[in-house]
Amino acid sequence: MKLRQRNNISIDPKYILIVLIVVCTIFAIISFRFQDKMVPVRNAVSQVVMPMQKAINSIGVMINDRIDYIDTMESLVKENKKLKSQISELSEENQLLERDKYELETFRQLYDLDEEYADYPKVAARVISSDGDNWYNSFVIDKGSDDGIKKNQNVLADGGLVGIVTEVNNSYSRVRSIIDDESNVSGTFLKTEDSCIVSGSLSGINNGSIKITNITTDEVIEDGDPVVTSQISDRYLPGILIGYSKNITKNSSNLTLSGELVPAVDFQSLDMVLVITELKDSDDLEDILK
Amino acid sequence: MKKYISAFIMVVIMFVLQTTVFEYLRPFGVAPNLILAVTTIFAFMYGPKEGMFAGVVSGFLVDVLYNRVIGVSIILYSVVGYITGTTRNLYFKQDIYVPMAVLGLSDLLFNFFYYICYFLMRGKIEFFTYLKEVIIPETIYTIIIGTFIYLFVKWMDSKFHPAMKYPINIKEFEDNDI
Repeated sequence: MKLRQRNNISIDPKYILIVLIVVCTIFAIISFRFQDKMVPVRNAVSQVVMPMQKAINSIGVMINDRIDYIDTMESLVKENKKLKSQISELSEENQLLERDKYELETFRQLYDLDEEYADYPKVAARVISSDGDNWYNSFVIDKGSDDGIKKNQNVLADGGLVGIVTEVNNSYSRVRSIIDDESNVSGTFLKTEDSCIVSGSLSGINNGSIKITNITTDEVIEDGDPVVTSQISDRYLPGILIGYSKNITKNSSNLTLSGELVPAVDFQSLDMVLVITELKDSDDLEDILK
Repeated sequence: MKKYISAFIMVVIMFVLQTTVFEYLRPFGVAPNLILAVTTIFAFMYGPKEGMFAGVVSGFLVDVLYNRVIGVSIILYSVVGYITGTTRNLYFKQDIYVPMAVLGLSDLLFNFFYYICYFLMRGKIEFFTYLKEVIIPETIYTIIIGTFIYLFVKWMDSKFHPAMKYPINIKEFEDNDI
């Protein structure tokens, strides 16, 4: 019975196809003419299909990620090799730098090159003549008041204190070095912060050292302890390295220590110096002293 | 009726897969035409009517969601469904090469029609460029994926229509002759 029914309504697919084509052609023309009328149909279908697409799309994204993962893996292996060799290079370099850094740090501590010290405005000057014979006790530099040099400005070289400007002219000035017999600089031991007086002396010139006196401390001062200019000095800016102590011994009075100081600057080959164009602000002090 | 329902469901599933997952799986820069594969498989296994039905569903989905004019793709898919449906005489359960060949031919045919409808009409005459760049890769890809779909549909068919005893088998044989 069922078989017969099916056979009865079965039509040759040819005719179905022809009808379909005709209907679709008409439909195509209609939908082309009235495109805006088709929007609800599109919306209805897309509302059914879109959620499915969205859900499945997440799987697609996942697959895509996986493919990307495999793709990038190869390049990552290559990159890894390259980076590893780079690491060994860099670690070697780093070791060198580490050593340099350690050195730098020790030097910094030693020299007390703090910001204040580094931030002083400086003018470079050339030593043009000297009136010493062996070492320059005082000398002339080629910068004067035209370049902003004033009396009592500090002079540096090689990171250490050279002396102080004592006489200024338009185009040149005279500098008295700390090894000059007249020179007295109040200093401080960096390690123990004990004050002392560094004074130039002719007697020590041949040994390459100057005198250091009036050390008031109970602590042991070893050879090579750095001495810098003191805060209490009225002409010298604080924290400038003067030199290193040597042969510190107790005085006969047992109250103070004294000894020798090796200047940080090599005065025999002094060529270029730096003049700090900032004066120590000691006007108040001078007022009090008056 | 089961055939039509399963055809409808398969087409919708494949449409969703084709427009999502396989958009990411483009080894030759082309995505496989899965709904055409489903249309072809149903046509090949059951005949022109089922093929046309699957083609109408496929074309309708494509037209409504992606095309400006509704109807052209319906005609294309149903024509291909009808033509491949005429190869139903070649359907044997054990064979795998004939359906693969049919899949390939239907994809070539479809793309040829598609080229005529959408490209030649706009004056694009570089057919061989499209053949090389789009049609051939898509055909190969569709054959590969379509074979798996074919195996799945055949398995589904064996679930819906378990092997029957002689009298009904004869009836099926008669159906084959139509």
